[in-house]
Amino acid sequence: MKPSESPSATPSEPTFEARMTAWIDGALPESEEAALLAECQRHGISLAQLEADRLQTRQLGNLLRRHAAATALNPLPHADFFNAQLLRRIEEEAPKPEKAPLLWPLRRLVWGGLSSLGLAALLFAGLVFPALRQQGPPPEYYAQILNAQTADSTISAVAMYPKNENVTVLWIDGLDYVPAEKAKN
Amino acid sequence: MRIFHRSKLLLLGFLAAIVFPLSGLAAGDVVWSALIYASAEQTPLPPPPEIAAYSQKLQRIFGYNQFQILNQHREVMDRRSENWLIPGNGFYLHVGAQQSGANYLLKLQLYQDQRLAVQTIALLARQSPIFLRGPLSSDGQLIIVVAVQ
Repeated sequence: MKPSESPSATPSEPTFEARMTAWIDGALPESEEAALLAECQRHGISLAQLEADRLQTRQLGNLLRRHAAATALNPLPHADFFNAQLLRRIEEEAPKPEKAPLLWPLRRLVWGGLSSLGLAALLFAGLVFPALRQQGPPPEYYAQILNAQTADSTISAVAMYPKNENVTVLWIDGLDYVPAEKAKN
Repeated sequence: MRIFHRSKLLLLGFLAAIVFPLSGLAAGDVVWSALIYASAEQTPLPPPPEIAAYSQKLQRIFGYNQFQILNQHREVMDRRSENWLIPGNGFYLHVGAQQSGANYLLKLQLYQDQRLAVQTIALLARQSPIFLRGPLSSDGQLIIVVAVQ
């Protein structure tokens, strides 16, 4: 629909697009309207087609202006609250997954747990504990000297734990010599 | 009601299984104590059977190779606490033993010439004997062994 620019147009003269826009808006002087329509007809655009385009463009402009005025004059109040309420209702109305029913009621679960605990204790008492008893204390479990007191300062008593012997020795020094005949009698 | 009755039986069985093995820990223990004369010999005699299990340890710790039992005592621990004496000539040991869990708490009093020379409190564990290094005597030494058998 757009004809080529007139070769006679100079920078001071309005372009074809400007004249066409002015004609659609009804702002083109009558003296130039006939020249513009004649120029369009030369390019194969009929007068009826031009009128139809002008009408459609005006309707579109009116519609855009009304919509812009409506949104500017009546903005949505409390938009965040509205959005939150809307989301809440969507979530409420959304289908929820059904809870899987318990295989066993709670009471049976409790008794089952207690029975398992008792069975484990019985197994420990019957199998593990006797095995531990047969092994006896671990090798590193020594007897212990908790306290040692001597009668006077010439006697000393020191606890010793020889490595890898698993015995406890109270090493006493300073006791009086015992003659052989006295010791063995 | 039936479930409750079954649970009672289960609880009783559980308690019995736990309590009876634990209570049998110290039943019938024997605390053996001995006064031993240790010496270094060219041709040592074999150790008496009572100290055969300890002779190697005695040899490594005290350096002697022959051991003779001068006196000994076997005390069956059928009561919670027991007392006994290992007499020697001018040298003797008084032992007081009391059960302490699976072990025995000992009070050992070493007398020399009617005088208390050393007193010690010791915890005697199973398979872990206590050796007391006593006075020198002749060419050797007196040693006291206390053990659970």
